Amino acid sequence: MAHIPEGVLSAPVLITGALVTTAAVAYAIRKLDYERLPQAAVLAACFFVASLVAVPAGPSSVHLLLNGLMGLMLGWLAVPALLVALLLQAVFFGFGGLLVLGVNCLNIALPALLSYYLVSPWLNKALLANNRRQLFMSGMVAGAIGVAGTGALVCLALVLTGPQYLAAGKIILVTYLPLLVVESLITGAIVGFVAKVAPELLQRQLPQPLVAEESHATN
Amino acid sequence: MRQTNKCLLLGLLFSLSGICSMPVSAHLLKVFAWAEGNEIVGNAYFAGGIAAGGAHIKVFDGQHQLVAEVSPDSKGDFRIKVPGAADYSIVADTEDGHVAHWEIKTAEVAAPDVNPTAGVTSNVTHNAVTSGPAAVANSAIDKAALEQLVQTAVAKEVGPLRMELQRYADRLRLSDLLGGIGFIFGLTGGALWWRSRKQQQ
Repeated sequence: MAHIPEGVLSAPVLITGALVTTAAVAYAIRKLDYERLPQAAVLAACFFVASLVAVPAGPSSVHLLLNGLMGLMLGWLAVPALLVALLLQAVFFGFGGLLVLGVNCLNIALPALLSYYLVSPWLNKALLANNRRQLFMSGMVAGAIGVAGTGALVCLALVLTGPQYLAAGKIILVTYLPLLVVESLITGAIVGFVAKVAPELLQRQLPQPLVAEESHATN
Repeated sequence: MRQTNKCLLLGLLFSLSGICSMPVSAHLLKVFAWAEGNEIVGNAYFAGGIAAGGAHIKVFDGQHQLVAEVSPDSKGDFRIKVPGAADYSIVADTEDGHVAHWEIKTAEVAAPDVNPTAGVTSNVTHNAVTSGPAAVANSAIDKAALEQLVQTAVAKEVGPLRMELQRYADRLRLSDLLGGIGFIFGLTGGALWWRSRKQQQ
């Protein structure tokens, strides 16, 4: 359900989504770290494929999002990675659509950035201490932030479109709760696994305050 | 370099595990419907297989007026009587933002006043009992009724087949999947190549 289909949202919501996504992608590309591109491609491919494994939940069906994980591992690069993956999902699978691409990307990328800024410092501490439990926990929280954030943003986009979608909020809550549990467990397990086999993939992500990053990018 | 290899390997593992455990089902809500006489019969499902029993079905006519509203059974099947021949648009909605559409053209739907079964029964009795000019007039009316009956019967037989076809077309193809993954890696390769070219200059 993370993919809102074409023809549901109102024009102002669509335009806002497109504008914000464009700005975020432009910012992410400006401070692009080429060393992390292969990693971004791999995660984008995972995200692209993960949407196919959907399980029925309530009146709808849900699939893994992995946006919390992407935020943790990619930082800002998660935004263009998600945009590309969402575009391909729209073209190949018919999930979402080209007009709603901006809103859908925003709904998924913002929680990714949130988990990057909130969880990465904790994750780095856990990595340094090599604390398995803390690593797993930080992954879990990132996964939970990803799902909860996306659910909230999808609700927001629907409600901003029209009050008739208020009921949708309740349904999204019901379908997202089991997803939240599963996603946080899986993200925790993946973070634990990556920390064991390739800790350097997680280590480099030190989020700085936005202003500091800005001046760094212009240097 | 070593790190990049490691990360690629890791990702491939993830992707492969994804593909192997794949189509439990895809995620896209779909609806398909056809007309049987003056009834619309259809099915709501998620592309790839599972029925969308929890969806709400709404039928709109050509003027976007709501004609009927039903909930399908657990298999996603529904059957709706419509007032007459017109363009109909069927909308399935799981109320969480998933929406699917299907259109039925006027030509598919029978006019409401033609009752094919009654028409043919009378046809049979008339042919058996009467002869002369009355029978000729009757057979002209009955011809229309018969046509209607045949059309309905054929629609009944062909409808499920058409749905099978539609479902097959909706099914995810491996080529789409691999195409998407290839696109992502190709794009990355392109970006890396572009950078290396810039560095060389």
